[in-house]
Formats: sequence, structure tokens, C-alpha cells
Amino acid sequence: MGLISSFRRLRLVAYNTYLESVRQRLFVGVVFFAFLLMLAALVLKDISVHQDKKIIADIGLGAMDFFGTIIAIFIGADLVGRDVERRTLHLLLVKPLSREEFIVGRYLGLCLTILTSLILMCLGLSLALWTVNGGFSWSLLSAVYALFLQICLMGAIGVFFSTTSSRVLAILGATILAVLGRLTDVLKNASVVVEGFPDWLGKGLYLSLPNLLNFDLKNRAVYGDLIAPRILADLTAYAAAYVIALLALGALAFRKRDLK
Amino acid sequence: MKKLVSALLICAGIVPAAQSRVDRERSAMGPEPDVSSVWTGRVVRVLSLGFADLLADLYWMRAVQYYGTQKLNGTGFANLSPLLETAAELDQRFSIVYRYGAVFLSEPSPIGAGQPATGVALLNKGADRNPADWRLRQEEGLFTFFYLNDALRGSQILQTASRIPGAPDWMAALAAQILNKGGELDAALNMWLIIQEQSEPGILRDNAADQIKIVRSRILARDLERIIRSYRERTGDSKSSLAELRRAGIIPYSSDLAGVEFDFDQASGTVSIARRSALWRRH
Repeated sequence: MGLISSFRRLRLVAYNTYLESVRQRLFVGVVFFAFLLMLAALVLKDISVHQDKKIIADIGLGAMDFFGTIIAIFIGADLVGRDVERRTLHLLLVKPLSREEFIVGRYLGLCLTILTSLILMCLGLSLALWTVNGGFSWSLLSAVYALFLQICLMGAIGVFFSTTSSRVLAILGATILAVLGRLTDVLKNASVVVEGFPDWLGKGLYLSLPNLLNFDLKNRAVYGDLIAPRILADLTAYAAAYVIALLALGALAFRKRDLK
Repeated sequence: MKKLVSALLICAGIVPAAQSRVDRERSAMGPEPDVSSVWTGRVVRVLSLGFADLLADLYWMRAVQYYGTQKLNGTGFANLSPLLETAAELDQRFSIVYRYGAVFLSEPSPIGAGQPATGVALLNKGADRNPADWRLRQEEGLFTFFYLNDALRGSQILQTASRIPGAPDWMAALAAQILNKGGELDAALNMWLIIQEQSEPGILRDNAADQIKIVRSRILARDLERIIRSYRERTGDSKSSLAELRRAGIIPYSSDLAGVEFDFDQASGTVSIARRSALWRRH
């Protein structure tokens, strides 16, 4: 019974978060993205020298990655902080809603927002590909799924920072991690090229920082490589473990946070 | 609290394990060609932060525009090679960069940059990075023969290409043909016909069509030389011009495929495409 009512509360928080997020910035960004893609499709057809499908797919996936990450960082970093700053959180927490449920619900709402934005972007990409007689392949779908996992992970990072610091610091922290997460290969091999850099530190950072390059299947998808479901399952496990850890850490920090 | 800590500990165990599995899976997928994992001079790739493909597209389109603009302006192609190299570095499977880039670089000025060695090197890099792509290796062989005038090396490369799965059967025969003394022009004609047939409509096919006209005109010139040599041996006449020989019905034509009369060196009996002809190229 407790589990069912907890689920109901999570659903309510998630749904409200989703509505708030969608009303905020999401649609403007997505419409802009879709418009840009269509425009790119029409312009690039003539200057890409028979590479229109590849270039449109590259732009589409790249834009999903970029705009998705922006959405995850900016909305994620604002999810908890906004309610704290506006003091609306107090109204929520006097109801039978624990702080953990609040964070998880907020995060699920963010994931729903990310999913919606990616679906809309996929539609834009499909339309753009359609103008050059291209299609949406399984490989592309796999790459988009990997991007979804990556962006959800970024969202969890944003939410984690949001529970521990102000909005600006949360955005800054999440952005730094977004950049570092794309430089993990460099960190892994830093000891090879930087004299005196401890190997254990490089390897340690490589294993502990979120490795966002794991989720980069864009090149594979564009060239039509077969993407095995196994790797998607492993990526899901990796992202899920990271997200749960981040939300647990966030919940721990939020428990101790003085909201007065 | 205990639940959260135990979830945290479990996840801390799962993340490295999942990372190792992802590493294994990715290595099982084969090389992505040369995804450099150490700091090298390829800074731009590292700084692309996962947007390497998109940057490669931008560099490629910039290279095409640059080539077109410089060709019109006639002010040289100094930045062409760096633009192409960067595009190829960012997306190492971007085969059109190697194929078109090699044409842009290898064609003599003012059509191209007049850097055939750089063009062939670009194709070589592309073929090394994409060992299953027989077309890149084939074009490296053809370009080595045609632009670097190295029949032996070109033939060796074509033989390598012929052994790549999927390569057409005639490639080995072509590799042998270009080694035939005196048969270079016929081999070149075959090569350009192949490139024309394999290319998409556009720059590559147009360039192949131009090259076919050039080679056919050189074959016409070679045939004229033979007729004139035979006529001179028979009559001892070494003073007649091409026009005079044509009027006398000794030779059936005196112009190239662009309609411009061939140059004729009376002393040596050499016939060649005239400089004023659109088909003239610097060797």
C-alpha cells in the first residue's frame, strides 16, 4: 500500500515537473532545432557534394546531443534549487512527500522532458532525411537511445548539484562534468604523455567520472554499423547505476540541507 | 539512510564493472579507425568533445567552398590540404574527403592545387584507415600512375587493391596493363573510364570526363606521330607542317578533341596538345 501511494506521489511530482519544464524552454529550443535541420537540409544539399544524408544525420545527432545536454543541465540544475529559492518546497514537503520522493519525482519528470525533446528532434531529423530520400535506420535509433541515456545521466548530475548548491554553481558544476566526461580518454592516458602524472590518478578519474564518450555511437550510426543490443544493455546498466548513485548522493545531501 | 548507503555501494561496484564491459564490447566492434586515446598533435579531435563528425562535415564543406572560390580567383590553394587533413582527421571514414580531396590536390594548376604527392598521400592515408575500402586503394594506385607517373608503384598498389574482398576481377589485369611499355595511355584511358563509371554525377565524374578527353587526344597525337614517322621514312619529307600533311591527305586529322590544332615539332616529329587548348595540362 505504501509503495503504491509512494508511486502515486512520484508520478504526480514527475508529471508536474514535466509540465513545468515543457512550458519553460523546451519547445522553443526544439522548434528552433527542427527549423535549423530543415533549413540545413535544403541548403546543404547543394554544397555537401553527395554527402547530404551523412551531413544531415551528423547535424541531427550532434544537435540532439548538444541541445539535449543543454536542456538536461539547465533544467536539471534548476529542479530543486528553484523550489528552495521560491520557498514553494515547504508547501510540498508539508504534504506526505519525502525529500527522496521529491528528488526522484523531479528527476523522472526531467527524464520525461528529455524523452519528449528527443522524440520531437527525431521527427525533425526524419523529416530532414526524408527530403533527401533518407530513412531512419535501426543504427540511428540505437544512437539516439544511447544519447537519451547520456542526457539522462547529465540530468542526474544536474539534479545532484541542484540538491547541494545554488543554481549558478549547479550549472557550472554540471557543465564542468559534461566537458570532463567527454575527455575521459585523455585522462586515462594522461600518465603516458604528462611526465609525473600518476597513472592511478588518471585511471581513477577515468573510472569514477561519468564517461560520456561511452554513449557516443553517432559515427557508427551514420555509417550504418550494426550496433549490438548487448552494448545498449551495458550502456543502460552503466547509466542506471550512475544515475541511482547520483540521486542517492543527492538525497543524502538534501536530507541534511537546512531549508529554513 | 542504510538503504541509500547500500544503493550507493552497489552502484559504486556496478559502474567500473559496466565500464569494463563497455570497453570490451567497443573493442569487439573493431577499430573506429584510429580513435587516438593519447594526447597527440590531433588536438582538434580531442577538443571536439564528441562532436567530431559534425566538425568534419563543416571542414569538408569549407574545403569544397574554398576549392571553388580559389579556382575562380586563381590565388592558389594554400589552405586546401590543411582543411582536407583536418576533415579526414575528425572523421576518418569520410571517404569522399580522400577521393575528392585527392582530385582537388592532384590536378595541375589552375584546375587544382598541383600537389599530386599530397593528393596521393591523402588517398594512402584514407586507404590505410579504411582497409576494407578497395576503391580508396584503387584510386591511390590510379593516381600514383596518372599524376605521379609511377607505373611500377601504381601497379603494385592496384595489385594490393585487387586482393581486398569485393574488388572487381579486372583490377589485377589493369595492374599488369600499366606495366606494358608504350601502353600507358591505353591503361590511363581505361582507368579514367573506370573512375567515370564508378563516380557519382558531379565534380569527380566531370573531372574523369575531362581526363578521358585529354587521354584520347594524347592517343590521337601518338597515332599521328606514328603515321608521320612512317611517311617520313617512306618519302624523306621532314619539312611539311601538320596543315600541309592534312591537305595532302597524309594524316586524317590535325586537331585535338577540343578542336585546337596539335603542336608539331618538325625536328623531332613530336605531336602534342597545344598550350592554347583547353585540354592542355602541365606534366
